[in-house]
Amino acid sequence: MATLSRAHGSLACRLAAGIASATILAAAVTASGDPPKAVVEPKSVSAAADMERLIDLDADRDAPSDTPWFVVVKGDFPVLISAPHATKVFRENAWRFADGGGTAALAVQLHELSRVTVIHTVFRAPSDPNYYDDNDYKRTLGALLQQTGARLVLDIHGSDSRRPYDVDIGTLDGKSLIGHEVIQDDLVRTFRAHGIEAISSNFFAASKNHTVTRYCNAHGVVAMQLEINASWLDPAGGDLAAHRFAALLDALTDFLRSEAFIVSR
Amino acid sequence: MTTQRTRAGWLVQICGGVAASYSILSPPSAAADQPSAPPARHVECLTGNYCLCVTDSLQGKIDEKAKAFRDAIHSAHASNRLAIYMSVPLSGSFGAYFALNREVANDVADRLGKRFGAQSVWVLNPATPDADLPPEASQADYMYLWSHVLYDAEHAKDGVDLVYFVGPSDFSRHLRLTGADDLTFLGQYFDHRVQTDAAFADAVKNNKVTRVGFLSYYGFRASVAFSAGAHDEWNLAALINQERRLQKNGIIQQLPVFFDGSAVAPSMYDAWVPVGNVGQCPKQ
Repeated sequence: MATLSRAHGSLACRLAAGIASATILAAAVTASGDPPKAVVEPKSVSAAADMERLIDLDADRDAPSDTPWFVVVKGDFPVLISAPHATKVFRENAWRFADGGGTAALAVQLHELSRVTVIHTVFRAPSDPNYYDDNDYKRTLGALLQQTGARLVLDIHGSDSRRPYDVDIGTLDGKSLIGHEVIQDDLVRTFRAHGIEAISSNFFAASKNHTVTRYCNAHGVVAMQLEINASWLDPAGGDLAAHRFAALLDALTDFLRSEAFIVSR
Repeated sequence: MTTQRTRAGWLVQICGGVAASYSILSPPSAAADQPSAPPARHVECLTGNYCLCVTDSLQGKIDEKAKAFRDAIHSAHASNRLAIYMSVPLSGSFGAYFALNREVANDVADRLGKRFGAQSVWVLNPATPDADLPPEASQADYMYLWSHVLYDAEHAKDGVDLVYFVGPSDFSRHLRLTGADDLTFLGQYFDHRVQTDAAFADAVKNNKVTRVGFLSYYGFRASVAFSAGAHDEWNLAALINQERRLQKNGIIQQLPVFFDGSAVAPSMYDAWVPVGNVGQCPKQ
């Protein structure tokens, strides 16, 4: 198995081990010191903007009776992206605000660019997947962990724009990395290389209640809860907001493609 | 048919046979599909020129709701909050879809709370399910309800503190229109809504809502400017202001009026618009 990694080839081998069928996903190997080559095209951001708007319009609607309130987009790359708060969710007898359709739009564009598997809400959720385990979202997530052989789960959330960080990484205070701290290190490095500078750790540790990160950790899968400042998650919000979304998408795509998952048959 | 109601300030007249003209104005909850004998109606007037046709059988229900909403205004004032009445087009006709307009109304009410501070204002949103009348209710019945609430509260020295008229920018904000290829996005949303809202799909299937009508309404017209009921509400605000201006320091005591996010110009406080439902009850 040939593996390449921008920074952590050995980790790539470790995490990629056992992955039977995968495809080389644009291994961008740059000479030392060179900045990464951008991969995101405007059409990806436009598609994300349309999706963000459609989900925002449905954020407070119930799913039709014969339709789930979340969707799964399957990929063949062993990473799973979750966006459980794209819509409003019900918890503790009240509807919680939505983090915004931008979280789901980001997840789906990561699928388009990196063929990860995605699960996200599309209508308001009668049971908060990041608060309770007893709901169809979590059951589907569990099945997907098995089916996809996921080695990493990124649980995408949107944080209030008034928070000081660009991204806060929740890892159950390190526990959800399961010894692979280098993955977080590389994610932080990749964010900063793309201009996403203010990174926080475990302001929201994902340790309270039945979070997606806790659930994945209990299943032995490395997981991080990414609390992304809302100012990066609004591709429909005009030129600057679209640019920031593009930079975020580019950063995560670069991370997924070059860090640890460049695998050949 | 006769009507025995007497109420200070409200003239009572008699009418009947007002069937067809109301079906197109009625909210979707009205059973307008099946032609049937028109319910008996009578005229109620705020003033000699502001009269509405009220369904006899709903009089008690409307009065009950009007009292509840007046009490809510009073409670807001008692808790040192200002009361905002929101005028919003709700009727599902000519490209508009009632459920979507109700979503817009809820969104605008929420935004008004955020804009002015939820601790400082209370928004009377006519789209609240608490205002729902039985299916036979006409738009005139709803207008009677809201006119009754606003005018009676005003005369009880407990009037609302702002009337907010929902405009095209409010709709655009909710619909996430960006000013770039808006009608294409609205077309996508129309298709999406057909797939995800059975009631909307039925309305489309039965030609109650067409794609062209939907684009025309939400792209160009979605606003109180195209609402018959809102025209009555505008004139009611003008009537209240006409009365307030007759009082000492009248101009400064006018009822503030906003449209589409901004306060209207001074000349608009004395502007009247064509009637919507007012005066439309046929004489016997």
